Amino acid sequence: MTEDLTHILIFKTNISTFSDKLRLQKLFLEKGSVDEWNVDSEDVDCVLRVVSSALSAGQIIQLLSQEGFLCEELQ
Amino acid sequence: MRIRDENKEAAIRKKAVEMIVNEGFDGLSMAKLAKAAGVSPATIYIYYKNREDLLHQLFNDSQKAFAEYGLRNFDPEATLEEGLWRQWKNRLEFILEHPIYFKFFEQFRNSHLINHKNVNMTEFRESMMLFVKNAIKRGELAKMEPEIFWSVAYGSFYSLVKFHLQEKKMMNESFKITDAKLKQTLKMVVKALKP
Repeated sequence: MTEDLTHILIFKTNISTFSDKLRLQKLFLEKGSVDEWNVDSEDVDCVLRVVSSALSAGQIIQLLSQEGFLCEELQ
Repeated sequence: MRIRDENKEAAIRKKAVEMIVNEGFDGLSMAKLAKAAGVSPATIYIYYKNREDLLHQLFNDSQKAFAEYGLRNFDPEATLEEGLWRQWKNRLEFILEHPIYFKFFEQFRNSHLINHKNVNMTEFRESMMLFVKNAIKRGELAKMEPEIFWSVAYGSFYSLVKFHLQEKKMMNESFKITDAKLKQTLKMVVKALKP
């Protein structure tokens, strides 16, 4: 694994459908600064994993909330 | 700054392998694993993107460990008998030291869950192929399809391992592998492989 662990952010979300993921993809593309992301659809918490050296957890939560998604840091 | 915690990571992997061996692939979920390993779900996701990513990494790890043991003191220029003996001993050592990885490996070998192309076994494979080619060149080994070679050269060995691990039973309830029994088997195998 080559990722820098410091830049990995983990969230609990309600992103479950394919169209949710497309919306999120668009959002991240527009925003830029997201190196890599994925949503684990198998998990009940629809865990979102973001690799970004520029964005903070707070900024990502704000970004998703504005779009109407539920998003909080997973403990 | 987040520091990679090797101990924590090793604990997660060990638990994951145990869960798969005991409950099958479906028995493993990221949430269950976090609970069993005593870490938070977020920690699991820092190391692995999802279940599939975790399974791939586990398989790669066990392959790597297997190859490391396999190559120990192994000389591809060795005679067929010496080389096979080293392979049997190395593989037995791996299996006895990591029985859970061996079971995991067996479970995974034929699974569609694994994209085998990701797995880097080049050095090990090349070494084994060179060994076989040398043995053929020296006239110690008949030419045959790789599957036939494997079945004769390793099939009996793995059969004995399974008796030893009590996964299979015959007359003797407590069959144990010894060097003498392995040597006895090896002699017959080497004879059978001759041109």
